[in-house]
Amino acid sequence: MADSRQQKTRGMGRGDLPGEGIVTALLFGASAVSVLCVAGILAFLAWFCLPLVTEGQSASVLSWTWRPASGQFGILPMAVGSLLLGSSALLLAWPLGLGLTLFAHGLGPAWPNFNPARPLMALVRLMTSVPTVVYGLASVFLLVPLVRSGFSGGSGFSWLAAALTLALLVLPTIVLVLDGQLRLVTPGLRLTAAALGLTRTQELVHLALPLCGRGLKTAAVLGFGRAVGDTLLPLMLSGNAAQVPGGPLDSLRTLTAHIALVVATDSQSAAYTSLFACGALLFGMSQAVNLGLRGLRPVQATLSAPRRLSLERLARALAWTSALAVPAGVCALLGYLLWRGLPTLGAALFFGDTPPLDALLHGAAVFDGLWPACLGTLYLVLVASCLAIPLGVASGIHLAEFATGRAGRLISSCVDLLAGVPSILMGLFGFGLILLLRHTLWPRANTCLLLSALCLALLVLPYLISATRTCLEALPRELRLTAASLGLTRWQTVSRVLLPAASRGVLGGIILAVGRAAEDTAVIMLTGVVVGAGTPGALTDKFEALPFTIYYLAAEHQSPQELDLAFGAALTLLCLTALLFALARSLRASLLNGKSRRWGNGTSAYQRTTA
Amino acid sequence: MTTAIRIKNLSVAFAGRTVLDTLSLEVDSGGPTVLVGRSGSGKTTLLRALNRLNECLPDCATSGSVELRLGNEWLDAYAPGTSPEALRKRVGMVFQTPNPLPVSVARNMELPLELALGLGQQERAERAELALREAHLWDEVKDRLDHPARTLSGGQQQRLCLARALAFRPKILLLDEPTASLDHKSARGVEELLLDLAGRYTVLLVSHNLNQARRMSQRQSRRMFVLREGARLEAVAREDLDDKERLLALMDELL
Amino acid sequence: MRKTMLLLILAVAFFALPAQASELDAFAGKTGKIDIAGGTAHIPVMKEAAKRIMQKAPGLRITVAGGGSGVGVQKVGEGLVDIGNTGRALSEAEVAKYGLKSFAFAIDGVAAVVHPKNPVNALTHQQVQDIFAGKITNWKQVGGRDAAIHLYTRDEASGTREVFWGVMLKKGQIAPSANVVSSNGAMKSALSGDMDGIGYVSIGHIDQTIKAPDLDGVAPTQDNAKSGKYPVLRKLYMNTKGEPTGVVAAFISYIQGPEGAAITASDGYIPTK
Repeated sequence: MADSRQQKTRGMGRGDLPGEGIVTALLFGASAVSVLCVAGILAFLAWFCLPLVTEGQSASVLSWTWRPASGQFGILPMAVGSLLLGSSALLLAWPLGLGLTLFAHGLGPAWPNFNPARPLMALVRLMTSVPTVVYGLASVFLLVPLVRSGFSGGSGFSWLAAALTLALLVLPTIVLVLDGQLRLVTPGLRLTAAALGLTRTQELVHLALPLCGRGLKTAAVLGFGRAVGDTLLPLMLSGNAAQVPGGPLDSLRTLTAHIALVVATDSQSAAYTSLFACGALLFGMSQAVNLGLRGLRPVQATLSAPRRLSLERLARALAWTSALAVPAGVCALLGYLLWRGLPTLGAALFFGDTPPLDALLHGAAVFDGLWPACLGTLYLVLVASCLAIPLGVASGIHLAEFATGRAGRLISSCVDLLAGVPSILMGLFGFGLILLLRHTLWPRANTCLLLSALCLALLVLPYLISATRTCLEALPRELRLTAASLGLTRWQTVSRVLLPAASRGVLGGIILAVGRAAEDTAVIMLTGVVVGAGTPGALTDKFEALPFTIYYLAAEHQSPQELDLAFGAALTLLCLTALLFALARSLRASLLNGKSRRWGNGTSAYQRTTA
Repeated sequence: MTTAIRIKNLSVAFAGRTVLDTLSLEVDSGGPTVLVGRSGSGKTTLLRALNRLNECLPDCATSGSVELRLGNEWLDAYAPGTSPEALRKRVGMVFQTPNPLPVSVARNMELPLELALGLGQQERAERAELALREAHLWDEVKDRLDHPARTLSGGQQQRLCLARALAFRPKILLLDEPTASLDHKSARGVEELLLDLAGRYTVLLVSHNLNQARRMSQRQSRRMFVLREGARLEAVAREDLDDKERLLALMDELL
Repeated sequence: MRKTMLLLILAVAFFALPAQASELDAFAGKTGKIDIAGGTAHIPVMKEAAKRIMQKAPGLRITVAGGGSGVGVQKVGEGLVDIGNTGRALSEAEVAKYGLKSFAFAIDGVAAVVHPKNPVNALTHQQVQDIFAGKITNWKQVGGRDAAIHLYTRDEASGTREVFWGVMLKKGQIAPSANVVSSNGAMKSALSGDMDGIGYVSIGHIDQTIKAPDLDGVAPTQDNAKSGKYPVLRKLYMNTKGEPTGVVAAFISYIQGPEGAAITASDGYIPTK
């Protein structure tokens, strides 16, 4: 604490720069939002879980049978289902992600004219933009039949199918985290290790990876959180039987899918109350894994020569396996999507029977087309980004550069907690918030676009914060010392030297967050998305959105033609997210080239100080 | 006097920009052989061409031949059958700035031996101690072997890097301005050490400091080359090295 | 004589067209908002009606959402939507708690369905009960091929499930290992891909991708449901909180009127009128 006070007085004491104090206060405010949100969500969960304790229903809820018709509300099978599915997906994705990263960083072949790492990493980046619901749709019609015919004795809707697809979903998160860490670590090692006669494999396995302990853990935590918190894939693929599965071909139900399935019941019943117990359990689960992984210490073992060699062989085998298996899986799913979706593309897909020009230029109403859903998604992402990006980046800066002592620890643990909130729970929170408002301050409050955007913003906020923070903290200490020695204030150091230096990573985090906001279905399902609404007119309107339209069409198609529409919509959403993604990347490229004046100055300041 | 390094028509280009152009050079065993030249004249690239380290940098194209005498045999560095790792294990290198690995002092010595040479625990410890003694560092670090290497002073770090290279028992030592980032006293310490080592190893030293180059040429076996703009190599005559006035004139012309 | 008949028919047709359009005229120039949510079987009817009305009255916004019958009750009860759809009758408790009012507009049967290539073409009521209870586990026990039966059921919010469970299974147990899907469409996609699956859907959803075996010798068709020969039936309801007013009342009477009935019929349900 003494430390933080000292730094603060130093910051405020600069009479010539009154802005410094204001900036610090603003950054602190951004961080406080996370704390308030976590407090709000916890209070909300506790409030709704309270009847379980006071009315003595906890024994019924913490049991092994879910049969609401006969008054049995046991959620333990779902808890086990979530744990099994989440950990199996992580156990698949983490090594594959590690392998893929290692492949891209030098374990792959180094052909003179063609570096396979490039298309591989491009594919991984493309994967970050593949929406959950798109994976779900393709898997229902491709993977599930394969599982069913490949292993006799099951419907195909199984733990296995869900785990495989979920692994693909969390893989890019893992790869990007590891890649970012390795990029920071390896340049300093490359020449040294090579000059000592170490092979690339040895350098990566024995030198670089042990230095990436934090990244390896972050990747696992983020991956598990994503896997255990996902709603759509288990809902669409795992069969949803409320039982503990006996094997990978059995059906299981996760807590998230359970919430999505049961939220559609009477809000006063015990079944409804038990949902919040599910929420609390989910929350507890991701936190426990988070803490457990953080407690792990990297082991500095000296290995015997044969074990060392086998470790290197294992790494190479892993790299090659991942580099072959992952693209094969993704290409199969996306290829299937293209095959089904491409023939449906056309003006009719988007505009139904309305003339496209009328819709585009005069805002004519469109029915039977995807146009309103496209616009809905676009608005949703824009509003959510406007809310989340400034807050997230500011809070990340605050945590990395300004927060100290107990306050800093409190905020960063709140951000971790917030990251552990699954999207379905965020949706439930938003929905509960509206109910609360209606009963108290604002009787006309209703689910709407603004509410969805708000919940989405909260959902992606921790991604933004930790991306910004990790990138800033990974910068060499010398950079801060150099900047300080040149007489720059702390804020000048941050804005002119550190941020430009970390901009690649920060923008990478923003890209991930925007993609995540565009594709999430679980949140908007509970906070205002509808099947038919036309183009959104105001922030308080209900709206259509592409991911939900896909989910709805996949589930509710009346004819094979309507199912084709679902594939068309999936392809559209994929293109939209890929486009957003390309936009963010080209923006990043232009920033790096110094085309933007402000950043250009920042970059030159950075070059001055490092020269 | 025997030849230890034979370079023929060596050209190196990065991303299409030629740094070294058909350069030839023979380096005698022992030494030290000193290579001077202005910043950017390609000294480092020349040095790194000897242990094929340029290949670790993006878009590098090398042509020509480099032969190194390692023990009684000649090794063609760029022959298709030569693995860069095997080459680098037998050619030690010290960089301009100290580059200890981000681990402890002891691990800095032992990890490369463990990984690259596959030595057992016992032999690693022995070699590490011997090399640290050879680098006059043992007495300073023997009580803090498990401290992070970054906590050592700059001069100590550089001697650690030298010791790390010596522990491999190389035939040839490549030194890239090894004292550039050190203070005067540390630099003199390292210089004396290098003079001492030159009796046992073939030492090729890059420097852009003529004074240091002159000090390093006190030994009988000294040689000095100047790398000019456009990658021309010029040998400095023995008489010029002995005569302080002539050397100063050369320095003026060079810098 | 024939000419007069023709003229008469033409005249009727001429007057009938504007007469049909006049149902929509009730909405001309109306503004405001109608939010609809709930039963998934209702959505096609609601969407089509909303489209026709909004084309007539661009100032009116009608949004349609699903969620299931449970959501319909909850949302209309909380006042979050204007009309909450259910695929089952409201319970007394629900009516009492929220003061809801129900408007039926269609009759729909619920049938057990299998993959079209499944050789089983007829099942008895008892067999269906035993299959879903997990007592019959292999298709050869009911005259099919030698393969394990894969069960599919709906989630608890489903009105379809409530009717199937209440009438077809006589509130008997559903094996806990049954796969749970969240809508009629999802059930259809699951079964159209699974040779050995059995589930149940609203008869309005049956198409060439799935097959409904006869039940006790009666084909599960909307005609048989209408005549009462096929017993597993339900009504589709729109519910409002209290008496509907304004555009909401107009919407409900439109759905219940002749044009609404035509839409209902074209979506595979039997209009109540």
